[in-house]
Amino acid sequence: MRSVRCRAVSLALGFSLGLPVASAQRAELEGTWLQLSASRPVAGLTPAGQAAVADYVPLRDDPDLQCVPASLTNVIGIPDPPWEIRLHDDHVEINFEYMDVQRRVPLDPDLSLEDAPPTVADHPHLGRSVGRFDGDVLVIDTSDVGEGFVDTRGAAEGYPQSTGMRYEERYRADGDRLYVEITHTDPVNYDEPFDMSFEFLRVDLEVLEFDCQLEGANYDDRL
Amino acid sequence: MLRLSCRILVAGVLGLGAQPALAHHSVSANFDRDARHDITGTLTAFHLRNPHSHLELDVVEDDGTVSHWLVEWGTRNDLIRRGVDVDRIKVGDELTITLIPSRRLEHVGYARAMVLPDGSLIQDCGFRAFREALVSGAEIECEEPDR
Repeated sequence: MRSVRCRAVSLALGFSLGLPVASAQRAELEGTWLQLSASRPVAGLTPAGQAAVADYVPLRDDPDLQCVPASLTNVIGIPDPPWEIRLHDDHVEINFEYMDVQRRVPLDPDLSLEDAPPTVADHPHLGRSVGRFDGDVLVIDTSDVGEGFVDTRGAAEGYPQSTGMRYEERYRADGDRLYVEITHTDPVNYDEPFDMSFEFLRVDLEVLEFDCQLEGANYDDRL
Repeated sequence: MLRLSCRILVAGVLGLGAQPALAHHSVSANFDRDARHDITGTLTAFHLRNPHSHLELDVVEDDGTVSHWLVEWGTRNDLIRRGVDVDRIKVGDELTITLIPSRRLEHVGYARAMVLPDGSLIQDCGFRAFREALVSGAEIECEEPDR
């Protein structure tokens, strides 16, 4: 009874401060999501970026074929498997089926990116992330990524990234839709920051174990 | 047009309105979607796994030699989630597989559909059809593959 009363008081106080609306919209981020659409516009490449794209050979270079997630963008952008967001008081949990990428993003305004733990413990090359809310939008900044590829699909096939790449992800839920915009900043490979955007549908699907099998994943013995 | 029911009903979706589908990972980069090729041979191995499945076939060529084909297919998770009846695929059976060939590798392709010894068709309707079924609440339906 006591806890119920406390929640009621908190709710009333929150409404008076305009908090419940934002909290409710933030809460909508929670759920399991499946991709509806993706926009991967062509980015302006520096000479180094052009050379990297020209040298990209999917069968040889695609990290997926080594059971390694290429980048956060690549994991978010794969269309088929569902993924989920779980909100906690001090962190956000983002669990992808693809490659079993289990991400933890601290929500600590006093934590610097340099001091943040790897956003995916099993894959430190995916960088270090810190999250915050800008109204009802979850904003995640990431740096300290490994050199490799931002994306391996569509117009962005073979887009490189340097260790200086920085990501800013913005997640906004609207009912049964989730909109994700990712701004990539990497002066080594790109003339200017570029965005990719994705739309997702809330679904009732299970996020399965992926258990990537390296044996048979690639064609190295045939190249 | 032959319509194939994958016998999967998906519920619990609140959204409406299908959107254009995107390509499965790496398939467009590694396989020529504009080309079609049929092979008939004996299935020597079937690996249902992630990040993609594989079928291995011995195919007798016109000159009598035997070629060993490696045919990629969807991820284990996608095939199961989309209700593809993979349990009916048996090592030792003679299969006819419609595939798109590798852009770089000989005797490598990506499966679009396969005909079992009893003449029945096994096909992964793909992510687009799966998503449209999710949105509509209907069963997955896919069109007969180009042969």
